[in-house]
Amino acid sequence: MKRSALYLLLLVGTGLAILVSTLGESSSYVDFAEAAANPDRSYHVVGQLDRGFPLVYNPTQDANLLQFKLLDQKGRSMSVVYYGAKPQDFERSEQIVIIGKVVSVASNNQSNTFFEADQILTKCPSKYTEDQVPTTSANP
Amino acid sequence: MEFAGELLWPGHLGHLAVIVSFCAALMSTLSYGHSLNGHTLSRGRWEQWGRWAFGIHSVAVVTIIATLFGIIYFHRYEYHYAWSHASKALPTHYILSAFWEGQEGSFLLWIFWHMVLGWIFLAVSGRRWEAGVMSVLSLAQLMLTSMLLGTTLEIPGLMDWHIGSSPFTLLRETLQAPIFNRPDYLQWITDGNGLNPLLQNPWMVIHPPVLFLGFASCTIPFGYALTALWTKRYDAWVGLAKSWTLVAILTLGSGIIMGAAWAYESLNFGGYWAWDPVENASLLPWLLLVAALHGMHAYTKSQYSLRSTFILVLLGFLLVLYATFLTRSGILGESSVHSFTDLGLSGQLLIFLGAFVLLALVLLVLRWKEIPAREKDSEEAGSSREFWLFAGSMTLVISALQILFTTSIPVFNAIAGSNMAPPAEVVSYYNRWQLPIAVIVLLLGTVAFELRFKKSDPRLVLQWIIQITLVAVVLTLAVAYTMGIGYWSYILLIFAACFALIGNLNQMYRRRQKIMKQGGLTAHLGFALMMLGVLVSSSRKEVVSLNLNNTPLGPNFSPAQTRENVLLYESQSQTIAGYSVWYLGDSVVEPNRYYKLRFEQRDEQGKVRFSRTLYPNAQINPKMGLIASPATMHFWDHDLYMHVTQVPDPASLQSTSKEYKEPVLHYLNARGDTLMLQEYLLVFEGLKTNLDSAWSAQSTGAEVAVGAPVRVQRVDTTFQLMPVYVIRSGVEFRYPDQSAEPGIRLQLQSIDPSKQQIALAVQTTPPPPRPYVVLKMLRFPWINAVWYGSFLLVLGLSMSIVHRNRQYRNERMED
Repeated sequence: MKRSALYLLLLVGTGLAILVSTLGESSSYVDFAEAAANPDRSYHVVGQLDRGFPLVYNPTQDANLLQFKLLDQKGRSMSVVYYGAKPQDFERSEQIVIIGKVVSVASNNQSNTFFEADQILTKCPSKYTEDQVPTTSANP
Repeated sequence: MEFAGELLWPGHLGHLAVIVSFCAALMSTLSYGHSLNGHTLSRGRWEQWGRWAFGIHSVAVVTIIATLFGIIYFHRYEYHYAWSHASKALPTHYILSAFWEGQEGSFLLWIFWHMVLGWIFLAVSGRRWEAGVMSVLSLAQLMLTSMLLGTTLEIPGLMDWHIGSSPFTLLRETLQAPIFNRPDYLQWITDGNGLNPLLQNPWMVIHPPVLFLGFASCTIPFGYALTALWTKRYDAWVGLAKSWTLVAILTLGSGIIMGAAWAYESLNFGGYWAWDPVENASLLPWLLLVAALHGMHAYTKSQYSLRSTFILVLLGFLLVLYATFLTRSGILGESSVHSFTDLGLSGQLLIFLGAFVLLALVLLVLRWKEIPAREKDSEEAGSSREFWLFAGSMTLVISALQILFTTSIPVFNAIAGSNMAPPAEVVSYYNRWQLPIAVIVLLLGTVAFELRFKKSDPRLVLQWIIQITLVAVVLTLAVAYTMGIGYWSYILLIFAACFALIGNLNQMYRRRQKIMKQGGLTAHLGFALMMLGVLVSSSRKEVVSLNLNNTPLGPNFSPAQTRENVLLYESQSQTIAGYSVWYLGDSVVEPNRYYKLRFEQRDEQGKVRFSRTLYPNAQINPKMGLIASPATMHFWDHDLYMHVTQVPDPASLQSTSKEYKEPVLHYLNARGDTLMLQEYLLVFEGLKTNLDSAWSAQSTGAEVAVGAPVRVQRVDTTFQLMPVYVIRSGVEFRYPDQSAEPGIRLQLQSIDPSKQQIALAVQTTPPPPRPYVVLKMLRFPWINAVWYGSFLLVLGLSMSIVHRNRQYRNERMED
């Protein structure tokens, strides 16, 4: 069974390589403070739409620009820019995961820091199984 | 309290049937299990008991399903399951989808298939393996029906266990609301919550049953393997389990492909595969079973690799359970878009998984030394087909390992309390690993057919490889050149796929006398075609709806961002991908809104050469917002795929204000000067001093009477306006002019004759809201190769099953 033993070794080796590469490549869920500490590194930030600020999406002017503020789980709010169309049911989402990095742009002696999202995932887990009796029934 | 209008007996019946099915599954497990150990004399009697118990179990299962279906079909909204998954507007065929949308319903689907497969097994397979396989199947049924029990085990202060989640709970038992204090509450619950619109798709009627049939058929090979270990019959099971493994691969594979087709046809992430954890979870057992099948093949032909075959078959089913745990326990959380919501069953799911892992592991460890390995004297030759089959299996295992690790990141997080996230570029991460694996699998799988079992002549094989390679290289270069693929690893995969295509075709030609024996070759050919399609369609997939005239965004934004959405106003055309695309308005067929898009191509003479109308649709769902579904133009060599990404709120389109806004002063310097204003283009046509008779009343006797004719152009019309400026007896008079319908009004404010300059006060009404769609459009070249390849794969597997069954029947006749 020499050859099979060799294969086993190869299998274990590849397994380890996969593990190392998964750990090496994996991004992490962080808050804005940490993402801002390492600008230009890609992170996942989980948060909610900051409803205290208007959401800017004006398809008739630019169908590929979405700006909003996101409250991370520590409660810090940051501007997010996404060059694409507004995801479906964006305003309704309970939770938003943005994947991207913090970018600082200096202009007019002012430095402007925002999060540039490459991807936006919205999570509305209970929206369809949401157990809410319709309001019409509550007040007959 | 008595509640009016409730129909309670179906719930009681259903719940009773759940309990009966659970107890009968227990009976069946114990009886069959006992028969496995019992004396030869009593064995038959215990088997009889087991069969009876399984019969009772089956009747109960059918009762559960019929009851739940009835509750949904007749809109009995006093039941939570019906209320939360169905609504009155739902067409009948989607009642089925509603049935298995929830966790309980999909468990039922699985239970149902187990039951059906159990009876097929009893009908077609020999008695010798009945006790073992049926006890494993019954144990699985026991675990599955326990998920539906919905009972609470409570010993005060010690434990408070909720077992399962019953699909028969009442709405008022599940929800807390003041309305449920009214005895007549039911008359106010007029409609259900409805089926998730994404699932209202024909594929969703067929995909889940096929997928669950696939999951269920993994249990039988597993049962064979466990029985073989238990009863120490290490040899004969392989041939028998092989047919069932083929069935499992066929059904699970079809289920996965249907899921991919559903994603492509009705979701809008722009593709058929996204390496989503839920997709991966169903792919894992499939990969393992394919590996197991090749191990079985090697074993039946040359007594090779029995131990690894045991491991692979066992792992195949255990990964089904792991997939179940991942998708149903809520552990995937934010890393997947479409897992089930948590029903609090995670503990029970872990027990389900753990019990079978333990069973398999203990038996395997106990029997490991006894499992026969091939005699030492027949030395393993590197040129033997069995060795290559084994190598191929192991490569598939590596593929599965990589998917398993990355998909399990949320599980690692849960165990270690870490906050690892999947790689940010998850698709390219998977592809980086899976691409070389696909290359190896394709090459191994093709060469293996040229090898003989035991030992082949390396010279002949090498000769064959060289011939095939030469043809494949030519084909590869042709493909890479025509498709413009220059990246070396992609070219490598194209080569591997071409090599496999030609190699398999060559083999098929040489064996053309025995068509029905060519299932394996057909499946391999399909796989190669599929890989070619996957590579070309995903590496050359391009967004064709590029927005080339963006408004500048200011200095804060990094330039050169890809802009992948195009704004299309109604009745205005844009050129996309060589087509003139017109948005021609929308129509509503509840619950969908269809956006009519016309695609045209004209030749030099302006004659229409190509024209087609497509209707990408969207639901503007009160609960979920805009849910867009794509429309696709199919061509033989590519697809054009599009969906709307934004549409205006229909209500906003109706608010048309006719009020003129505040005037704004504009200066026009000379004749021919132009001014862009909202949707208007104004052209100053020069001052006019000799006004015609229409202005005689205003101009007679005036010191100055000047008109400023202005041509006003809009997309659809052109008209002329002429405001007039008059000085009479030293007093200025200004006579404005305006469009026939409220839109634009001009007033000549002042004139500087020396410069021929005029000042125009312009008033406009707010631009009428124009309907528009924001569209995203992708081009998938060669995507049909993916579907044709899958079809061949499925066809090949079916041929193998038919062939295998014929063989099996012949073997039985010989017995």
